[in-house]
Amino acid sequence: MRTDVAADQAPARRIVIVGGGIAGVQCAETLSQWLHRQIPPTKARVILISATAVLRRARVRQQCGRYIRWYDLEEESGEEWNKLNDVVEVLPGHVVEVHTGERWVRVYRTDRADTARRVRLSYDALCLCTGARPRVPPVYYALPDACRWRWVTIRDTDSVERFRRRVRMLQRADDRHPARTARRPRLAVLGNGGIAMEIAYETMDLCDVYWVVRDTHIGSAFFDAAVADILYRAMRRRERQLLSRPARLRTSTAEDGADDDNGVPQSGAEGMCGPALGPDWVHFGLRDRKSLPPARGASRLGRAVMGETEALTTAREAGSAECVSEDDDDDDDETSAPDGDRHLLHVECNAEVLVVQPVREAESTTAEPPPPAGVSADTPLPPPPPGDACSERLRLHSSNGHALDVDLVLCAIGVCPAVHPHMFHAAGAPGPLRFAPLPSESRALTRQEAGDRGGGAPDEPCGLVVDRHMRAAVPSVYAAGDCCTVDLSATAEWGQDALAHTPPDNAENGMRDGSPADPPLWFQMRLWSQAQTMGACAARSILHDLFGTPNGHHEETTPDGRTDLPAAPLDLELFVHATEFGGLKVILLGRYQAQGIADDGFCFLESAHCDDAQDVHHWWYVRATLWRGRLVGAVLLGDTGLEEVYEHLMLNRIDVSFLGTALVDGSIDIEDFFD
Amino acid sequence: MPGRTYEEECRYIRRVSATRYEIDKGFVPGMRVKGAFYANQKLERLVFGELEAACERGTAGGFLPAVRQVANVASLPGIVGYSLALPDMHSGYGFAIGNVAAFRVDDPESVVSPGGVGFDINCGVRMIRTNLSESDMQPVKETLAQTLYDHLPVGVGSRGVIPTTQRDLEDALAYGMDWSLREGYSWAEDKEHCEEYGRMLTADPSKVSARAKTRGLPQLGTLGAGNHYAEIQVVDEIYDDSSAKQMGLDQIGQVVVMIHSGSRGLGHQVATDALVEMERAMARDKLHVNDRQLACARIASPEGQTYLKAMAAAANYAWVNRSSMTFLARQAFAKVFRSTPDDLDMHVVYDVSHNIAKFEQHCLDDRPVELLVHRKGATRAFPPNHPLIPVAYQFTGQPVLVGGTMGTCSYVLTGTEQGMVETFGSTCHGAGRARSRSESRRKLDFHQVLNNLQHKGISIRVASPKLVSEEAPESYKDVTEVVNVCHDAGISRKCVKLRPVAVIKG
Repeated sequence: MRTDVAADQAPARRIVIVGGGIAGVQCAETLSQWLHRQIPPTKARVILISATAVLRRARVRQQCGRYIRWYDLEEESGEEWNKLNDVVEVLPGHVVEVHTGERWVRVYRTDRADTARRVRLSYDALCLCTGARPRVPPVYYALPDACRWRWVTIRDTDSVERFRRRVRMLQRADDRHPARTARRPRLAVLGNGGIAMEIAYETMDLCDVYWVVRDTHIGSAFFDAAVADILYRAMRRRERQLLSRPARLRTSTAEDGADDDNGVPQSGAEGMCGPALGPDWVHFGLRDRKSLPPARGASRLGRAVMGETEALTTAREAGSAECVSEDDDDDDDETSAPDGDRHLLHVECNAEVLVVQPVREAESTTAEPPPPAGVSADTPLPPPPPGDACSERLRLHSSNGHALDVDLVLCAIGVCPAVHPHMFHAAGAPGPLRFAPLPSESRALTRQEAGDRGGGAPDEPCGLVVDRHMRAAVPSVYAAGDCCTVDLSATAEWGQDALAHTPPDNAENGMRDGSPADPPLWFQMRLWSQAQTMGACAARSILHDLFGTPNGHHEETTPDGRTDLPAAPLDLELFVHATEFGGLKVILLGRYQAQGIADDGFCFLESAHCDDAQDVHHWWYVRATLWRGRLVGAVLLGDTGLEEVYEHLMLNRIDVSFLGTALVDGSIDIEDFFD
Repeated sequence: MPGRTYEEECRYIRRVSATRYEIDKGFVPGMRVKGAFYANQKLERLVFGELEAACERGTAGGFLPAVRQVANVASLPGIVGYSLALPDMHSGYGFAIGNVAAFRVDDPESVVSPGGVGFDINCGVRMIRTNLSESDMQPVKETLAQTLYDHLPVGVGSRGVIPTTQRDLEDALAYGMDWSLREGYSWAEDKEHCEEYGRMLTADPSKVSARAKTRGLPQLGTLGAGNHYAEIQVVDEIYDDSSAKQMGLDQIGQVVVMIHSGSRGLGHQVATDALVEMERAMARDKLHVNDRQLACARIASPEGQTYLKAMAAAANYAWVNRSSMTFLARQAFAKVFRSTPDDLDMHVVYDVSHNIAKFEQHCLDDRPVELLVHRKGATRAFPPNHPLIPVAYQFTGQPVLVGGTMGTCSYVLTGTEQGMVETFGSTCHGAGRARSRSESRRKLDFHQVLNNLQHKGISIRVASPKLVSEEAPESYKDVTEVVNVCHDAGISRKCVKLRPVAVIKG
């Protein structure tokens, strides 16, 4: 879209971004950085339409490799943003219609009233970053309004704050109720993704946790059963540590006074506490793992949920404190809990909650009531007990016949992209937009298998389809983050060739011995890190399409040639997810489960080490996925130190079969070998 | 060699002095010169241990022990003198790490091999001195470390000091530290205290692939992880007062900053691209090597020239990286001590490369000859009066910066005339991280876990940790041992020892 008029006479371009989440904010920031650097300044305005009062930004806290980053989330209000940034304007409101042919959107502004509310904004480029909404199962809607506060849907930090307040409300109610001081609150966790995993782990010292998953094992959104098993052991280990000091299980209420109720969560309250890769000055530079405090910062979600409770601090600092009745052979740890049958965490697999009903405190007992006969999703709810609208607990009936009385339900069962075909009007547009679910390799393992077994693809929500440059099928429309579905094989016909110098995966360095192309090592998952990457990628595409020339340079160059456009990095080249669970650093690289790859020429190499059975921080586990002798994926648990060199090996695509098991077993220093 | 026992193999390796061993021809096929390595009795156990483990593995494959790699390099066409290895030698890709090999440029058979440079092209060390003492630093040590950590770019560079435009990268590849100077990130005198003056003139960015550039672009100016680090160190011991004084390191307790980093993903991609291209061309040029990883090309061939030019560009990139980190380190110190880098005397002592190939003049049979010297895991150590080292060091010899494994002590050495004669002016680079994680450990029983894996037709092998050498109690190469061996062999001289007080990792 080159303009033929001289640059300073060209009309200002308007770039509209919809959504103030991570993808949208990153898109806005990338645009703003480039626009700021221009000499002479390019005429462009960026408008960011946000439905919420706060904008979310993911800050890179630490960079371990080319792609491996640890993130922190920050929030900022729209007003603050407007003060600091003169290129981007934040407009509070919702987009209700998008006209892709005529290129305008209709916005309902939330900061105005009456006729001034509805606004029509034309655009030169539109970037949809509307994110995704939490999925809510139908059972929720059958709950009476008065009890709905006990059901929390977690998706982002906004909801985490609400959840935290509810737990505190429960504790305060318990404190006031004389008969209930002896009972710990019960929490049901529904869902099997990263958030459900973290909450289940992190709230064990606050509540009795009942984790209900419909898959065959925990963590199936990310992990196969083998890896999940290791993490499960970490959870059980923590449970035993907590049980060995029962007096401290109750949370202190010292934090309650600091509760902030105006809806703006505190950000960064933990202070600088990175994982062990940060400055090690207090230990004179020696990487003595035992004396370093366990990684805390990456588990921000857990911290946000609980605040700094006494129990948690003690449990963490104890680290390798001995567990009662721990013997050397810990194979049967699940069944030999020191405190008889006492468990803080109960996991029910292959179970789905079918019915939820409120029960009064008097009706509820600590023993589980006998399962009602013939309970199914269609069973009508019994009417709420008369007289008291606010019942004390919720009773969950699950598909395996169990019933469970809980005080709070945390629902983290997945998300639906927040884009709907009916929002878009295509009159005059060259074609329709496409919507599609995530491809099979992006889905949880068990769901892949369900699809393979001919059960049909489960009902997957659809996102707006874009190519690898975040361009949708219609000119001037882009999308990034959870609301989109990236189709790596597609190329939007209308985009500038400027970005084509980033070759598709295999053109430049596939193995030229005639073997088929390597599988792409990236696949989409609904993760913060991907939202950020995609937001930046969309911004680059927008810049190239609006201001670029076919060879990738800006039309106007100053004498020193400074005004060139940001180059497209290889962000969609390698899947990376870095997180922490149960005290263990977790890094997933590439096709770590061999997802979506045709099944010949495969091998997994696996190695596990444990320097100290008591302390999960001394565990490490490596599983490398090899395809035709090349490293295409890896799971790294613990401080393996292998992430950067594995990243190099995956991007280099060299044959590492000569290393054999030395690739994983630590007998040689791989990083040094490839130095 | 298949079929030989460990004892038979050992007969090819002779100890010729307290610190030097030679590998006779015949140890591997086609050796044109002998191999030689430096070690003492303690370090030799690790070398032989590696060989023994390999003999046990037999033809089951795996990687080659360092001595065999050194011998394989001795079979490359055009090699002169010896295929050398320094005391920190251990297995690497193609060439051993610590291997030095020189090829006559006027011999049309001579080759260049990316394995002899390494994947992390121009991985090297830079030292910046200060006029602070440890007691000056003690009260603000944590603030200083934190500030340094905040300043050194550890994130994606979009907001960093180094802009991430394509043009900047092209210029950095072409001009090296001259670009840094132009942009204001380095002082004019920094260049003089750097090998090649921080810029290899043979660099050609057009020979660097687009993929390498896209890998390199976001990493421009970043530290990297793994064995890359920045350390705040203090002078612990001085062995050679006059040389130390010339370097400005004459006080015990004096604070310095050491930065160890390289070319990151860009170097990796340049090396990988070259290996693939050269492998294809080897049949055409009738090149046969004992090990596929020793892919190489005639120096004058298109592939050879492309690699050398791309390697030079990658080297420039690494110097730009170290220069920008120097700039940021200066800022950090200035901020904490409320002074200026100038007033803190934060000059670059020197900057050395330990993964590079260079054209150099050396004496062979009393005649000057131009050689292409590959150094991988080895540092150049030119003697006093050499024209290529800064004026300030003409009497001392070139400073050699040897970083131990992160967190252990480091050394500054100087080059010697004997080193020039025996090792083409090369010495060790550091301890390397050749340790195997050989502390005794218990393995969790994961067999039941493996049974849960659902995939069909996929073989899964569980690997258990192996020890490199059963006898050696410490299985890593102690930098002090290594440096002492070089000193005793006369190929370099100890000048200063330093100990770390803070470590910053990217």
